[in-house]
Amino acid sequence: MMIEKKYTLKFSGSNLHESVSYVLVSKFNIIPNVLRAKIDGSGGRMILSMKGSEKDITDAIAHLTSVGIEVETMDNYVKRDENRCIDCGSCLSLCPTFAFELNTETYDIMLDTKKCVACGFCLSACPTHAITLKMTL
Amino acid sequence: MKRTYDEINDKIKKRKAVVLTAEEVIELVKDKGVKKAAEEVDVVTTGTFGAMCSSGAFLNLGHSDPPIRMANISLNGVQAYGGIAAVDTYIGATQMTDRKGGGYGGGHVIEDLVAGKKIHLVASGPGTDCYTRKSIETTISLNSINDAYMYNPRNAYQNYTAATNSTDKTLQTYMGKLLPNFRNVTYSSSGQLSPLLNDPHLDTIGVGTRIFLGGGEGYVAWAGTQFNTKTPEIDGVPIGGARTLALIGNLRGMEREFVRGLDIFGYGTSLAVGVGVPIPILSENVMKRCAISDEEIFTQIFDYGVSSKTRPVIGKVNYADLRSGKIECDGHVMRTSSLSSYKYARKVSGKLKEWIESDKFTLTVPSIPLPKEGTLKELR
Repeated sequence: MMIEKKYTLKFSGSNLHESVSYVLVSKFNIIPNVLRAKIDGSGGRMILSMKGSEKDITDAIAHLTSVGIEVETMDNYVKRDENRCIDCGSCLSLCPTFAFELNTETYDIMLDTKKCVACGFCLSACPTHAITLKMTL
Repeated sequence: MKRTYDEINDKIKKRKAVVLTAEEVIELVKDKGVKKAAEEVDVVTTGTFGAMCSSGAFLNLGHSDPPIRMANISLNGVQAYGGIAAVDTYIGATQMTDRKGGGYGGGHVIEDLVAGKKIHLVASGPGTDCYTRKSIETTISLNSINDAYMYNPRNAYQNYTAATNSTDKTLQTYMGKLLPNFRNVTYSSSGQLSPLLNDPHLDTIGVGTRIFLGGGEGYVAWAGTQFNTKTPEIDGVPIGGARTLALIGNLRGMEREFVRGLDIFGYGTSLAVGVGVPIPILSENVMKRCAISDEEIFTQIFDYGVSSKTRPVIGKVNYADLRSGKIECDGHVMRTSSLSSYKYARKVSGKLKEWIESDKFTLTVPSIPLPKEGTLKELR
């Protein structure tokens, strides 16, 4: 069964030359999707979506770790303060990954942090400063 | 069918009044028809909760010893008006902090007052024979000052335009963040719950109408500024900004939940105010108007990428489509964002319903009706 998961990859100066996409495709049968990346001479981070079987993804992570890339499951990078949020929906149409969704029964604005890629585009759209990012690239 | 205010208030006092929200009444009228619904229902409650920039509060800070005639007044670093009597002031929602970084303004000061928080006051004046003191720095709160009442010159806009952006740059407007190339549309009205869309020609709402304001009790003080009756209508309902209300109410008794400072990035600060107006079902016609649904309320989408008072219209859309999350208009597929909270609009109409059902709130007869005519003039 195919699953899709998001990870943050942390590169250091010594492993930033490692090919990620090519190796994931050719050796591990993974469909990679680089969602965001900010990497310079001293290293950096990449947000990577991997689609494949659970075993292939586990093997791929083991490979990335073996070449010195730190791999973390990407989750909860955006945080919403419920005491501030007024469920207006300003964020709804801005999120490139559709992480915000309107519940048409309750009119709550639902946030699926698993879809979030920590782009921060919603931050300046929130009139009550309810959204914060735990991480920036 | 005819019903009077006295009859309704009698029923409220006996806790027998039948009260429905403007959302609930839609189904009832669909099921039973206008005539039957008008016979059954006494009051319909409405609600809205969104940015209302033309809002603020009058405060009387109390006299110090020796006394001061305050001319320059700052509350938590936000300038308040110093051009009325010695310790009277007006704090406006869009006045922004002097502090670097911004993000805080008059709307937030009002929210903090309502929340019972302490506010840092700095004031200075010329020093006169009768007001010798020239400066003061102290702390105030809602309880420590003499008077605090909200007076909002323009609230509860009857419908409002929707906004999009034709340019290739993201725009930060008072209508929110507008993505390039028509990628999104923002809108603000609570549509089928909106006070003035449920009584479009103000047959029941007038000066002195008692309302829900910011979680407490308020009144319609006057016609709101920019009161306009010339907006084009569909089936008797304006398809853009039209009538408005000036509202007044004691800050004491309001709740922070319904009085919230806003920081609209790239524009400035504002205040989200919860407003709910009860509509007495005096006749079948009033009931017919209250039964309006999002499908029947239209607004026009304007291109905010064009910086002119007369922005081009991209198209017309109803609120049911806007609330669906995605619309297609003039060949563009656009995602939608509401700037006002429908969830809170529901809360407002629900609370007002509870108040009336439990005899905490009776209806007032308007002292005078609001104008039948109003036009907008251009500043030349």
